[in-house]
Amino acid sequence: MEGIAGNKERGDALVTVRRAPVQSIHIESPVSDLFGHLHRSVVEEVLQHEGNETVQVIVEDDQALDCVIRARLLCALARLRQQEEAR
Amino acid sequence: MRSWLYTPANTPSRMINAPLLGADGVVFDLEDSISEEQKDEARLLLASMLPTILLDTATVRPHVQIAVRINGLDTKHWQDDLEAVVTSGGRLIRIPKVEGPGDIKEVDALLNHLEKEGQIAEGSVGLHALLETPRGIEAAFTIADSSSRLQGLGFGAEDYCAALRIGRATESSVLDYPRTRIANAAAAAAIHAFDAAWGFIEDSEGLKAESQRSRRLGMHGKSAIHPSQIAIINDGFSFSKEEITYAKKIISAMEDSAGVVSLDGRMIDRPVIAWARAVFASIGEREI
Repeated sequence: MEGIAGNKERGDALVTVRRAPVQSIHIESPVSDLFGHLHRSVVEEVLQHEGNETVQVIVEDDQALDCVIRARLLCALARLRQQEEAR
Repeated sequence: MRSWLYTPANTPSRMINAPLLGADGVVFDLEDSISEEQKDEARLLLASMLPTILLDTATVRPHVQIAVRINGLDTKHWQDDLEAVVTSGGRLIRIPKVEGPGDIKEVDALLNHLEKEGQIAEGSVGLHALLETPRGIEAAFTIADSSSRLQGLGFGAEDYCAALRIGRATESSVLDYPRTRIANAAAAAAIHAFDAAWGFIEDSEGLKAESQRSRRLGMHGKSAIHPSQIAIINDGFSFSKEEITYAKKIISAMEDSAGVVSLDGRMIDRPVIAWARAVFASIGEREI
């Protein structure tokens, strides 16, 4: 079961979230050298705000703004929860 | 405000660039261009991006207005849309398929609550009402006059044509009645009137003709669904050089005279002066 949001398009990011035994964050980005730390801190901030759930987060970024990654992660988490509630 | 560019609220790169393309206004769309499965995604994206877009626009394109078209009041989405937009800084909302003043009152009540809760100045969120059905057209003035939040009435041609079972592009005069009705209602309420988007992107001559006709019927601007339409709409809804020159002559003649003035054989009275001042106000809005 996973929550997915966003797209693999320029300026956007595809974010996938799955339940996992421990929290982990994987970010693939063509600009990771420059902005990787910023992307990671956005993901960590959202996870903390959302209750620090133990999930695996995969961000496939194509030069998205931090506000885009934040929105895509929030949506992926919401979709994961909706699926779990629907079971 | 001549041109309003619609931009789907689920396309980050297009959303960031939209205010830079020459339109007088941008409408981020949560309604028709967003599929049912993407409604939640688009709303979250817009709420997250809007503060950045508003700040950037205020800095580099301060004359460009930003609006959001929410989902219709007959859907389960509109209240969530409204809350997301207002709490993220949006101050102009387009409501689709408005059919009577009751629709505006319903939105107004939720806005009052959101403004109070968010400590936002009362009445600071403005509205555009889109009239897209025969019932909405017939109620144009009562809608325009229903709230001080109303800043404009817009026409939605596709739904209107579908309701009347008429073709959109067959004959331009068939839409004169709803346009005239909207333009008159908007003028009576001292707000703007905006025409529907032209859906035939490749047909620039059709867009040009429709823009000129809409302006002659009293509309102030028109929606665009593609950046290539912006310049044509801006041109169609701008005063011509001849009109601007004539307006200047009227103002000069007035300043030079204490009484009734005649210019080029025409008596210049109060309505003519009001027209000349409207020309200057329109130019001033766009910093030409």
